[in-house]
Amino acid sequence: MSEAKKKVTAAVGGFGRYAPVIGLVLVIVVFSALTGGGLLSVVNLQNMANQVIVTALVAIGAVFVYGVGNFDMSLGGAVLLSAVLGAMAAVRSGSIFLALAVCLAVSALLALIKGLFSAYIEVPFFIFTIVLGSVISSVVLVIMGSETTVYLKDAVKPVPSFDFTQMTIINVICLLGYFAVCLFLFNYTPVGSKVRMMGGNRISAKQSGINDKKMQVLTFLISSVGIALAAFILIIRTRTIGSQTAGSTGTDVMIALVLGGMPISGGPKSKISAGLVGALIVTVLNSGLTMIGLSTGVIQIVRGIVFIIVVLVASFSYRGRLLPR
Amino acid sequence: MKKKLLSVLLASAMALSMAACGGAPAGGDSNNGGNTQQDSNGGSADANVQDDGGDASGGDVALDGSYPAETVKIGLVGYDNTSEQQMAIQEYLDYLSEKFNIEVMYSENLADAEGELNFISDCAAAGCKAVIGYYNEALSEAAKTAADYGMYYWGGFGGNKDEVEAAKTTCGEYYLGGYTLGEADYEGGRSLALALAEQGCEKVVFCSGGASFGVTQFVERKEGFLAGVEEAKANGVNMEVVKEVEGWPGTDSFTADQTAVMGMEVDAIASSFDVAMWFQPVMEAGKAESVKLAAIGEVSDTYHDFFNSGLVSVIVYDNEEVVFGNAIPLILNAVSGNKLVDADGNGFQYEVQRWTITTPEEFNAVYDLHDSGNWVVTAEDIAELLVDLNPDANADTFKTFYGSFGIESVMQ
Amino acid sequence: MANEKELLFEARKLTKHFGPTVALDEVDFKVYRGEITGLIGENGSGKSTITSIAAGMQPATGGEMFFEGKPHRPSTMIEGARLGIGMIVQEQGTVSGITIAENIFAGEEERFRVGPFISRGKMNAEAKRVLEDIGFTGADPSAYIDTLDMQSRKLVEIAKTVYNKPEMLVVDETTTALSQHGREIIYNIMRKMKENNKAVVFISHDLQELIDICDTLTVLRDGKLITTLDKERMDEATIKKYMVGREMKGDYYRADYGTKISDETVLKVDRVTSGSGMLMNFSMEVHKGEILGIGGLSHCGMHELGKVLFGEEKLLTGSVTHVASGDKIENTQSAMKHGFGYVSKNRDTESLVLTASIQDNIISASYDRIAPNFVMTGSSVRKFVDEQVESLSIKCAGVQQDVQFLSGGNKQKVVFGKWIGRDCDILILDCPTRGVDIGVKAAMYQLIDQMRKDNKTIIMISEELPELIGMSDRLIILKDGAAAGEFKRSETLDENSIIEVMI
Repeated sequence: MSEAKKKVTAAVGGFGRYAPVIGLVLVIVVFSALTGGGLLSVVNLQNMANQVIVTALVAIGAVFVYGVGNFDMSLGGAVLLSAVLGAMAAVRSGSIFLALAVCLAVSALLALIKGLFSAYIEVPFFIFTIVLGSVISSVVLVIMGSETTVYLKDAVKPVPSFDFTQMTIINVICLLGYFAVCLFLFNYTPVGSKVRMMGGNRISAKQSGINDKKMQVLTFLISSVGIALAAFILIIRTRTIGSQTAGSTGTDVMIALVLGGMPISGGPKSKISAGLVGALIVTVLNSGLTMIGLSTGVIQIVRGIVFIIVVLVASFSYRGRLLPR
Repeated sequence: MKKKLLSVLLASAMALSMAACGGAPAGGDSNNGGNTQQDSNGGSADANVQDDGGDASGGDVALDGSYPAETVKIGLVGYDNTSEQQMAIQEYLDYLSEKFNIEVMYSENLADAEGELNFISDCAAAGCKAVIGYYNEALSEAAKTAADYGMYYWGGFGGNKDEVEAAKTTCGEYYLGGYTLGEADYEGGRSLALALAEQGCEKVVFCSGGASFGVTQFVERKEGFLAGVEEAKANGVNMEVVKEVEGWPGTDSFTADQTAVMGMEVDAIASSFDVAMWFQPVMEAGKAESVKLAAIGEVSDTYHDFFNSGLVSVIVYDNEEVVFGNAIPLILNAVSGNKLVDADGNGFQYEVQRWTITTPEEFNAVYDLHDSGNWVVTAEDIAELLVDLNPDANADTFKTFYGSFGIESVMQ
Repeated sequence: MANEKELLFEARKLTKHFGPTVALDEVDFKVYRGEITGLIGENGSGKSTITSIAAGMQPATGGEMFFEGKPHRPSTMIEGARLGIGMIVQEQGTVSGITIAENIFAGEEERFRVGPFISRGKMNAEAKRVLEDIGFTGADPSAYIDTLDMQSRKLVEIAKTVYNKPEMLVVDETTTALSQHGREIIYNIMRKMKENNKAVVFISHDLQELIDICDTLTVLRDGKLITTLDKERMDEATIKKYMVGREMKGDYYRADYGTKISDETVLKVDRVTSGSGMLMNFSMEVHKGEILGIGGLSHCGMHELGKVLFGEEKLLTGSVTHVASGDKIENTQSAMKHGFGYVSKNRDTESLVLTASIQDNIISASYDRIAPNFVMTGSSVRKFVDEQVESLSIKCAGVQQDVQFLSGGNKQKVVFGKWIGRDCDILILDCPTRGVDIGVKAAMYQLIDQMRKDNKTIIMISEELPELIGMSDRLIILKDGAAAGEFKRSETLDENSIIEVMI
């Protein structure tokens, strides 16, 4: 390959690598201008910290799952089931710690089910997760029985409630804590490297002695912690969990990952920042679009256009890297 | 390669132009944004009345969108932008936006509590001063969130008193109140039964919607309906429920039940929600003459022809202007420092009427009002309830005014 | 003789630039009828560039071409084919999801029209005849192409090319993918072309096959034509000298003979029958510090043996035992625990993650070494990777570069680095020098020999007899999943005695 060509390739590749961050900055700049600075007011920053949390927690964990090449469509369902059972536990006991424990246990159990399935059954994983997702929503309906919504205020003894600032603090701690742990696992331990290699070439990864089944279960477990935290935060923030809770989380996470620059088929180009950056872009976009007061139909159109641009840019840099020498 | 670049450019151009279109008016408003905080502090009635409000004597101010001086932004939490009721509300609020200096932001279709709270916080960031909780999944949390941001909250209706009380507590001084329809859903169901009894229907089918899944609203409507049937019996009408159809249209069981009903001898089909899904089966079975339909629904195009042809004979109707439009005077008063309060100094629940429409005359009267751009509750009516414009206005005049609207008063 | 030769194709001052890179530099190249012309050179020397320009795959930057005396400027491959240039390339050229016959007659279905229908029967019969013409029997032309293995698909492709009766046939590194049987088929086709006074251009890495087949051999280096050798002057040493541009040392393979093999057994294979049925009741022992060569025809079970040793394949009966610990090798993890390493024959699909960086690939088998406490620091990774890149002199822009952009030789070095870095005691190498340049090949042999001297055990599975003979202390030949013969290292060992056992 010629020097000039190499430079072009490197530049395009480099652009591809930073595109999500550039996109985030761009979205922030554009909407700050359009909202007359309102986007970056203290109130709205707190706002967005609260809004980003569910998508971000789930998306960060999902990087591990998607990274090995498991396309998981049951993420929203997992949040729903954890939140419903966690909220019920809180109502029965009045303890938010028990609620957290139940959230963790439920999502871990789902992770094990997914892990067993992907390791031992030869059906495309995403098909399994589609089925799992709908099974979960039916299970939730059965569990809730005659009630459609679980209210924390019906608890046997008062469940502590948090004001706006406390909530923001809890959110930021959960998000940064989980992100830090995931960042560490993904970039500074063999776990992340193994995930990338498995996503790139399962056979090669196996031949390098990477324990495929164990790793898959591990990725689901890591992701389950994010799911549990998201469910827990939903419980204490909304104090109201219905059968529609987290209905849009699955798609939000997928959009966030794509916007964040994560190859949806996983592999060596997976990056942990995709979950956080992508969730931030989605949140700023949603918040900004709502704030400038577009009608709801137009919001959806604009969101779609942004999504298409990102995919185009992503495929642009991807092609650049694969152009023949 | 060139094509790709071109498409990216085109797409971004579109995105920007669209964003710019929507952005222009919002940008203009934000110039005034600095005063917002002051206003929301003046929650109690003795707060200093603004200058322009003082000058105006009752009713003299031209209702051309100049009052109040500063645009009042309001967020409306809805769950379905395409529902007839929400569209009717939107139409009414559009009318009021021309008369008063208000601007309403509508949420996207919301399904869960998370989305509801996120929208409310976005409203705060966009400079809204009040939130209309047309839909609520997590009433007390929504009210609390609004209060946290210093926005007034209007809402809290339906049967669940505990929820309303909880919202009152969490929202505190920012709670504006909301209407009640008495035992709204119970009464709605009862009115259906009584209206049908009056028309001499004996064998009735009842669509109970979500009652069998335990959805409170529908459970109460069903209880009300059954009570109405008993009442009719006591009055000498030999009325009985020959079949209960559970669930929603579009499911297999619902379709099966519909087929079964068409094979039965029935006088009327009452639905605790919409009834439009019965039009076709009834007509196809050639029973349009013998079967009467009754619904809790809207005065809208959907029912216009069928009501006039006699197929639909009862609609229990919540008039949007009366039931939801009352949020506007409450908000405008609160924002100008004249929050209407009850004896205990808090926002309050007040009773409005649910209209039971049983004749084409009644239906057409209401329908024509809408159609010709006339309103049951006009901007002028609302101006009378604003303390700034009419110093005599208070909580009692408000309650009396909205409580007085029934189908009879409209007919007059 | 010379004046009887009829010129078919000529390139004059043919030049090709890719940006500032000069792939071909004013090359004059002639192809005569009734001759097999060989082309050789290291990767990137420009040999495929000449033929692809001649066939119309890409335009030249400068120079002229003549075909049958007329100026030749094909703008597409179809035009090239119409003019009479047929090409068999290294990459897969068949279309999945359609039958063998449809592959052969793609675009020419009209010929089998009967009324409004295409006659499958006629097409299949014709296909069968075409396949048998080239000596490929036993395939059902109505079967889907996907039912064939790589080699048979290649043969179908060859049949298709030959069917179009080209005046000049280009065989571009096709033989690498083929077994001896497949190669024979190609050799026969080339010879037949020659007999019919057509021309063949044969590109290969395999010196021996070029020497055997070609009438003249043109050597390219760095886009320049170095020399053209006639039959008498073709010998490996000369060719290598021209290719590399310097005299190759004599010890291309290892030079020692009579080195004593240790009596210590490190690995024991006991009556193994593999899950795929390619190995039948096979037993052997491997000694410490030896290079054990495993050879045979391509379906003899030797590649499966490699996988069996590494715990990659399920066993029906028997066992593989690591002698020192007495542990059975049942999966990759247990093999690696005892210091096994494995380089697959299918480097790109099994041994490497192509889209991952050199660094990620090199560390992918050694997490336990780099991060014994679970924490993987940048410095420990860099140290580990740099060591391998340096000691193997992997040519790359940086360790973060994707492996897919490396040349075949450098890719293979990365795979080696992955296992050498792990400090493996027992290395199983399946076709370690496949598709690798001579220069890199020599380096690999030196490396393997060095590992032997470091008392490591190497099991080298190969389809190339010269390297097995040149490198092994002991050579086991497999046939139909069982050991057919064993040879000790010796200067007198020659290919013929081994081939006798193989077939």
